[in-house]
Amino acid sequence: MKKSRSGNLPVKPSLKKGLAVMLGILFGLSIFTFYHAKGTSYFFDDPESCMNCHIMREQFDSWAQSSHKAVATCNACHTPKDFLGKYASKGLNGWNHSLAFTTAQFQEPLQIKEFNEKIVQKNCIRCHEIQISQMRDFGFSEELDCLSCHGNVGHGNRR
Amino acid sequence: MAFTALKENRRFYIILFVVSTFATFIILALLFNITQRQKEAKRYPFKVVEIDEYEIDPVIWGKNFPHQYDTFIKTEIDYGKTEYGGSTPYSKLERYPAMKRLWAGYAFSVDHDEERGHYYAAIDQVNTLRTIKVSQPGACVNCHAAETPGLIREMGWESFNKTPFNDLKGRLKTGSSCSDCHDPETMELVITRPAFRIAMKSAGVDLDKATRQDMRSYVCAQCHVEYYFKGENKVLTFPWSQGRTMDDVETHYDTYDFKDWTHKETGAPMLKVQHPEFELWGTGIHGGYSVW
Repeated sequence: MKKSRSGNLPVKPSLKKGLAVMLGILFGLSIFTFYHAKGTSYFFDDPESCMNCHIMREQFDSWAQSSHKAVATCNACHTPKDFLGKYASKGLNGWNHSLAFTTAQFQEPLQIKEFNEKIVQKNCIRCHEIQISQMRDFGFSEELDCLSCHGNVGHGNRR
Repeated sequence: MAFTALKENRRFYIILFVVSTFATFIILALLFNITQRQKEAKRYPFKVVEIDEYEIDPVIWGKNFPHQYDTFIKTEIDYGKTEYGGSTPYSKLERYPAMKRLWAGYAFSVDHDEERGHYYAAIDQVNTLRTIKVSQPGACVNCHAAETPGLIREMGWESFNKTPFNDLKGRLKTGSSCSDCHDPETMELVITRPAFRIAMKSAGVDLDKATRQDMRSYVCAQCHVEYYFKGENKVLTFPWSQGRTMDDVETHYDTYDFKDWTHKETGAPMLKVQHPEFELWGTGIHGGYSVW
């Protein structure tokens, strides 16, 4: 057999088998990690899932004591209503949150950012359209920010 | 073919090996990180001390639950009189002199001050002339001392109620405390008073199925209700057999021919309602619409 610099040589079948086993382990480990981290729960609407990461406990508890508990879950306010928008925002936030929580790089107390604030505002309007229709037609140059006055409806009394 | 050549290319397998080694490393690191974070979640509430199952001292509870303790201890502060009472224990008999005559022959005609915060539950009860000048049963202790569940465990439900107040008096050190309504491990709401448990059971309510929202009213209803001491043993009882409106409660009393006392001047059998906050709320418009 002739050697070549590019390593263009036949590979022993036993090595291939070894690699296959290795990939199998990797695949299995990935599935287990996904299961262990309750991965599927993120596809649904149960507010408990948002508490999978303990850093969200305060948000969960304050929601549980808020006036909106009876009518709105986390996703009702924090994800867009349409299917694509909902899962796109879940994906994006999911990635950002996982990265922040895994590396422990985040600011406390937690603060909502512009991207998510817009989603919440849209959802305020979505449910309260009738009540606010007159306000909106009043000709304000900028859209009013619901949360600037009603910041505690979703998350009870903040410390 | 190029594809076949690639498949047999050793470099391809080397790269595959390196990549999957790296990926396995990352996944395992992630798995350990997730497990670590899940362990952190179990450290909630963060415990500075272990609170014993039967611990009643709010100071000890306060070590693990500092925010809650801060608000609890505020019940010690006198913030003055308000339209609805406030926390200054002024004499109501002086403020409303007619009450002395209306309550003639009843302990309340001797001494009745505006009540104050939970902190004072035992202090004020031990010092009122209603327990000093009048002989009262242990049943009074039910809602005035955090020692109650311990005393009931020790003496049994009926004999605890029957024992004279003065015999128990020396053991009442703690007023209302965290342990009256909370679980020391999780801070979840719990029912600790038998009278409420018994009353709800006969009303057909399964307290084990109560939601957190229900419990937020139920814990208050352990004490903020109308009650009486039933029979020879003076067992603390809630008069709810017919329902919880004022008329229902009166009907309940009438079936027993029960009276709180006999009026000294007129000889009339009298009832004096205590503090039926739970009933007034529950049978009112808010209770009806599940506004807690």
